[in-house]
Amino acid sequence: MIQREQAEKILKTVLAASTADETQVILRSEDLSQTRFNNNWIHQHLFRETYSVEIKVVDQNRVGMATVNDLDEAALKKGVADALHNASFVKANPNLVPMPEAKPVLEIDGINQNTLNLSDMDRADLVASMIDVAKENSVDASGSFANELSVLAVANSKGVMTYHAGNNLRIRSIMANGLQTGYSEAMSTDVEAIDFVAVAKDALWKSKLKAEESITLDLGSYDTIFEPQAVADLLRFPGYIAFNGQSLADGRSFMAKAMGQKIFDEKVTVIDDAYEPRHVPMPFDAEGMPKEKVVIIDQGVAKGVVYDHASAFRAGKETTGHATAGRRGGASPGHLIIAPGNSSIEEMIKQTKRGVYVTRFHYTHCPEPMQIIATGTTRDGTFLIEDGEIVARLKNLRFTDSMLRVFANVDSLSQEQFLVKDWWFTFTMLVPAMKIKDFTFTGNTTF
Amino acid sequence: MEEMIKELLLYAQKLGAEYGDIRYTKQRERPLMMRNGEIESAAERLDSGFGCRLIVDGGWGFASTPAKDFEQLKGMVERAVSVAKASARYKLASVELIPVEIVQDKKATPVKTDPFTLNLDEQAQLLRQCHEIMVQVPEVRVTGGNLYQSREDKIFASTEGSWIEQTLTITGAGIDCLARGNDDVQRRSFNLNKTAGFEAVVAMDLPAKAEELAQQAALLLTADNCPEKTRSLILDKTLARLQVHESCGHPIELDRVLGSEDTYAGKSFLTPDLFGKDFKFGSEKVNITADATLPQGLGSFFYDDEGVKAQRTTIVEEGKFKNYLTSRETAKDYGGVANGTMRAMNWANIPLIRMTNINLEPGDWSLDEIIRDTKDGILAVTPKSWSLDDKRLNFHFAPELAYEILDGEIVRPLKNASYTALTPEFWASCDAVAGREKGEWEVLGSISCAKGEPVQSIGPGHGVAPVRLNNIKTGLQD
Repeated sequence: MIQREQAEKILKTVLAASTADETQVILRSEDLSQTRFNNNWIHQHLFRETYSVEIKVVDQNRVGMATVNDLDEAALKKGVADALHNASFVKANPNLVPMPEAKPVLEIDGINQNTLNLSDMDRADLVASMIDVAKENSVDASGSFANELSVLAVANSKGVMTYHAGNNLRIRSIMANGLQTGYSEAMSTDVEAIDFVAVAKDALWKSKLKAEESITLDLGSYDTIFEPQAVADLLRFPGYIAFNGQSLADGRSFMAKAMGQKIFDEKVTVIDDAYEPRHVPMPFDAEGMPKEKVVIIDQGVAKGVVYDHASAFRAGKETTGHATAGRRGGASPGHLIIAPGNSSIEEMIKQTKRGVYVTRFHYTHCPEPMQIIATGTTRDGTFLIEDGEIVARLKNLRFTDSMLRVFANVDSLSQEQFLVKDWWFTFTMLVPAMKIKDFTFTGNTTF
Repeated sequence: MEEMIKELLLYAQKLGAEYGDIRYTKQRERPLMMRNGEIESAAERLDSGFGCRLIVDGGWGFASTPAKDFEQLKGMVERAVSVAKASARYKLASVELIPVEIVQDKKATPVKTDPFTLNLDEQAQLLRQCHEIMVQVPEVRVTGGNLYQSREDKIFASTEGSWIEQTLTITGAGIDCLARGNDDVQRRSFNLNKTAGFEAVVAMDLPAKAEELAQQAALLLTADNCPEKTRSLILDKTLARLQVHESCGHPIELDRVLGSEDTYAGKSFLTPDLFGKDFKFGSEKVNITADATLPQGLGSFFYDDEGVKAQRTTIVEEGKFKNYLTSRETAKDYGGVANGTMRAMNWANIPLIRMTNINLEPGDWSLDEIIRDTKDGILAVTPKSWSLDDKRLNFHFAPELAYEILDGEIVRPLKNASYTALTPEFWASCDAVAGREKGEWEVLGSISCAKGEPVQSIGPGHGVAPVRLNNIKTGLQD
């Protein structure tokens, strides 16, 4: 792991080497240990160390960028020279927004020692404890266990100088009972907070329940209960399409015409809060600006979007600290949270006359972004509910529905929230389970 | 470098490695981004490092580092051994690799105009010209463009004695526009990448494409929605590329078939029991190959990342499924041939079975003939959205633009089109593949196909031409 002193030395070397009017430097590093298993054995296993230094210069309104992954002084200076060289070729842009001035940033201790001390063998042992659950129940375990330690440090020539290190883990489990599968996952900053056997057993019951036969559902609209990871896929679409200032300015977001209006069910409150301790906390963004808690939807009413410095400046607002790194940059809500309700998955099932239970989705996409009409298929445990009980396993289903309609039709939310990622790994979110009235299924699969 | 890598391989063997390979890659990328006529940035990205893959006690281990110092690289080898020993503790059987030819070789992508020697400002001017053309259409409110160049120097060395050096060059470009009006927003886009020099970008004729895209985006604002109907479907070659990629290319990856990608990418409907049985994948018009030797394909190279020579493999012959994409570990029970498909995004990642150039071989029709021969159908152009289930059976695709065809004539543009089907039924309905006319069959490629955990994004190629399918459900909701 790159320590603060070393990081600051790297950032200062870049700033000192630059002759540009403005310079920004982003240092990122990641130590990733990942164990993948399939058919009850570990088939892929790695340790990956990566780091990069992203340099952005603005010289006479011309932007140049360079990224290097050598940390010695000569390589950093070459990176600066490359960025300046690139800027010299670009036509001046008089509309460029100046880089932000420094703001106070909160210190957060993001390192969990239990997680940091986990060895390769410890990881294998934890995976083995899940494989044991599979073997004891005559099913096959597959999954993935990632332990990530990351550093982000940002500086610019206007006084920004920030550093944060943090770690987290994520375990994903599929249990295959012949052709019937069940899924579960857990994520935390603390390995001691994850019960690996419980995750395995949560996947197990979904592989075993009503496993003798799966039936084909008549297509149409059904009251549908979503586990948290499925909720994450539903929220991902408005998250990346609509909840940022640039989409608002371009008119690509439904939020552009909805501010102050009730667009979702009043039970729905969506915020972005990078300081929430159950999340993976992060005090600043890729411009070194402090994270602000942003209320996006308040009891169904559209309230706000997230901004980076440039999109905020153009909108006459202050950045909310949601800039992302990389070539395209822009703002993104990286710490989405849906406020809890007062129900539970068990209660939702009990209250359902006829409906569908969805464990997770696969390969969702959005063919129509203004109405956020999305599609995707269910997988790893889709069930039919009748008279308050799960009565049958369903063949997987394709949904096609507008997320505006979906979040306007919320019946209930669970009191418990879960830290999950969507299928695409776009966002980490803290969300409850959710029951939607009249969710639209438009296709069947054969399994 | 050679002496150091060979010493590291000896060190791995000393620590107990039964097999080991080390890859060093050094990549230089140069992306240029334009938005609304302004070059947002010109960038340069340099990335290099080492990856070490070992088998110890029959278990796999991998470690990678950007460090260059010998002692730190020894640490990478030690970590790979530690990881492998942890894998081996819970192995079911020892990993075995089928034999491969030991090779010493050095190769490079043929390049006519080296993109890295060109003036960036002149390249940027091409994108500005496209912007100026697109904004001539009043409905166009946002324009975008990009140029991409990459050069990767790779070294592969194994404890078996192979030493392979390759230099791969990729050049690409894209433009897009967003039109607003009639209470609607519509987008048109074009993007293409090839293993070639800047001559590939010149051949794209971006200014002509800019004019076409802008006009089409404006046209879509007042176009009718695509009605729900079961009818013929003609895919233009850009959509055929993605359809082949998603519903032909991914299901034939043997690692996916065997379950190793299950938690993220899923499995495949082409289950192991279908191998060697001439399973009916499609109609007799459907011939699919994997060919890493094609000129300019994004999946073109000389050796894969476990040192297997690039090759051409028959995947589907006259509709019958013949072969998977394989690796040295998986090929044993599936034909016994590692067909050279193991690729890693870079030094930092494990090689996985990845598509090379997965091609729908050209047919004996032309696109004009297919349109004239279609009584009731739509011509779908450029992917907008796509979604498939975890076995690649049920899928839903949406194009940016469609045209309705009635009695052999294009009668109107349609927006918000989509189509859905099951993969084998879809390809079984194929009765016409174009490719007879010059330029109809082309190797297209996109640099962003995701697979693996951690996710690796890599570029496969696809030789494709327009193709017709029949009795396909089309329309917005289904």
